[in-house]
Amino acid sequence: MTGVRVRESPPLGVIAPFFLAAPLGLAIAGFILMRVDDTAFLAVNIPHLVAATHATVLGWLTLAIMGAIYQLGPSVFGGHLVSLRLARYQFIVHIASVVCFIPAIYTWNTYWMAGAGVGVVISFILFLINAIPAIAWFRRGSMPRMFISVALLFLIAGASFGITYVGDLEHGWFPITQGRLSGHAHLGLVGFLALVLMGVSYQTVPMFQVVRRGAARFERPVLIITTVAASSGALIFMTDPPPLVRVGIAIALAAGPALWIADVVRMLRSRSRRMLDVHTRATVVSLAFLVAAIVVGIAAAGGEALSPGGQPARLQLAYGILAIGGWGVSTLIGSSFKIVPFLVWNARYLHLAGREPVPSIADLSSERWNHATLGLHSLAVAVLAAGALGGQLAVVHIGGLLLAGAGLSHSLALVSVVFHHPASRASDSAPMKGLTT
Amino acid sequence: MSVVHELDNRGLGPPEPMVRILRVLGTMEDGDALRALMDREPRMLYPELERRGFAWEFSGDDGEFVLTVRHAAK
Repeated sequence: MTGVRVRESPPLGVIAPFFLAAPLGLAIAGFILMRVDDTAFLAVNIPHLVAATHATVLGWLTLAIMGAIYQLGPSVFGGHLVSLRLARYQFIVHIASVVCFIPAIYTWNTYWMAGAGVGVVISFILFLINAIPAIAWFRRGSMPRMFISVALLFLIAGASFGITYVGDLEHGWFPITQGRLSGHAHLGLVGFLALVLMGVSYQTVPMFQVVRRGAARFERPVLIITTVAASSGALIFMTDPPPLVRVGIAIALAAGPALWIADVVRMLRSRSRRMLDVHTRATVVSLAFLVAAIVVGIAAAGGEALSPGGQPARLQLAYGILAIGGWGVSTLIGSSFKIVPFLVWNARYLHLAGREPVPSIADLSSERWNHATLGLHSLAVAVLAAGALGGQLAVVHIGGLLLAGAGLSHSLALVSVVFHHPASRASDSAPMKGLTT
Repeated sequence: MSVVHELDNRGLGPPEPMVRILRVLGTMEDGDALRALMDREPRMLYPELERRGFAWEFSGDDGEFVLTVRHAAK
C-alpha cells in the first residue's frame, strides 16, 4: 500500500475571498480607463494609467495568484500553510491597502501612496510567510514549484523598487525616469507574473486538459531564459539605454514566453480531452494576446522610430493592455472557472460522493455565463488595444466600459459558484461508461 | 464471492475520476476490489479513501496508471 498522506487543502472560506474579490480590481481598472484623457497617448506614467495598471496587477492578478498558491501549495506541491488565520488577515491587509493605494495614485497624493504602499508591502510579507512553506520553496522535483519559487524572489524585488519609487516621489532622492519605471514594471510583469503564469500552466494545462507526460519539452530553458532576461533586462532598462539595446532586451524577454507558447501548443495538441471548454478557450485566447503583446512590445522598445504618429506611449499602452489584460487576465479567468468550482465541490460534496446524489462540477456554474465573460473580456482587451494603437480616445473609453463589465460579470459568476444552492443537486445515478465487474 | 470492479477513468478531467471511484466504492462488499485505469495520480482522493476506511495501491508509468482499492484490514 502506498500509504501516502496528503496535506489537506485550506478551507474554502480562506481561498474563495481571494478569487471573488480579484475581478473587482479589473472592474476598477475599466472604470479608470473610461476617464483617461488624451495625455494617455503621450506618456504611460500619468496617474490614471498607473492607477489602472496597479488596480489590475495588485487588485486582480496578484490577489488571484495568492489564492491559487495557497490552494496549489498544500494540495499539489505537498507544502503547508503556517497559519490559516494569517492568510485571512493577509487578505484583509491586502484589500485595505489596495483600496487606499489606487485612489492615492489616481489623485497623485504621494502621502497616501506611501502609506498604502507600505500596507501592500506588509501584505506581501505576510503572504510570503505562508507561501514559502506552502509551495515547499525551492525543493527539487517539480518544475512548476521552481517557477513559483523564482517568481516570489521577483515579487520581493519588484515590490522593493516600487516602494522605493513611492518614497522617492515624496522625498525626491533621484529622478524616476522612463527606464527606471520600465525596469520596475518588467520585474513585476515578466519576473513575477509571467513566471507564475507559465509555471502554474505547466501544472494546470496537463491536469485540466489531460495531457500525457513529455508533451512539454522546454520547462527548464523557459525558466532559465526568463529568469536571466527579466533580472538583467530590468536592471539594464533602469540605465535608460538607447533604442537598439531596448529592442535587444525586449527580444530576450520574449524568448522564454515564446518557448512556453510552443510547449502549450504541443500540450493542447496532445490532450485527450477534446472538448472546447472555457479553460481551453481562455488558454488559446491568452496565447493569441501574448503573441500580439510580444510583437507590440518589441516595437514599443524601438521608441519613436517604430511608433504610430511618433508617439511611443501608444505602443507602450497597447503592449501593457495586451500583456497584462490580454495574456495575464485571460489566463486567470480560465483557471478560476476551473479552480473555484473544484474547490466548492471539494468542500461541499466530496464527503457525500458515493453516498448520495451529488452535482457534477459542471452543475456548479453556467458554462454559457463563463464563456460570455471570457468573450466580453477578450473584446474589451481588443478594443482597448485598438484604441491605444489608433490613438482614439473614444474607443479606449468604450474598451474601459467593456473591461469593467467583464470584471463585474466574472466576479458575479464566481459568487454564484461559491453560493451554489445545494437544492439543485443532480442525480448521479446514471449508468457509468467504462465500469465492468 | 469477491468481485473486482474495473473502471476506465482515462481522458476524464477532475473531479470526474474521483466521483466515479467513490460511487463504486459505495457499492463494494468486504473482499471486493476496484481496479481503475487513470491518467494521473489522484492525490486529492487519498484523504477521502483513508476517511472511508479503504487501502490502495497505485502503480504504472508513462501516463497510464492503475489504482487498486480495497477495504482496509481491520
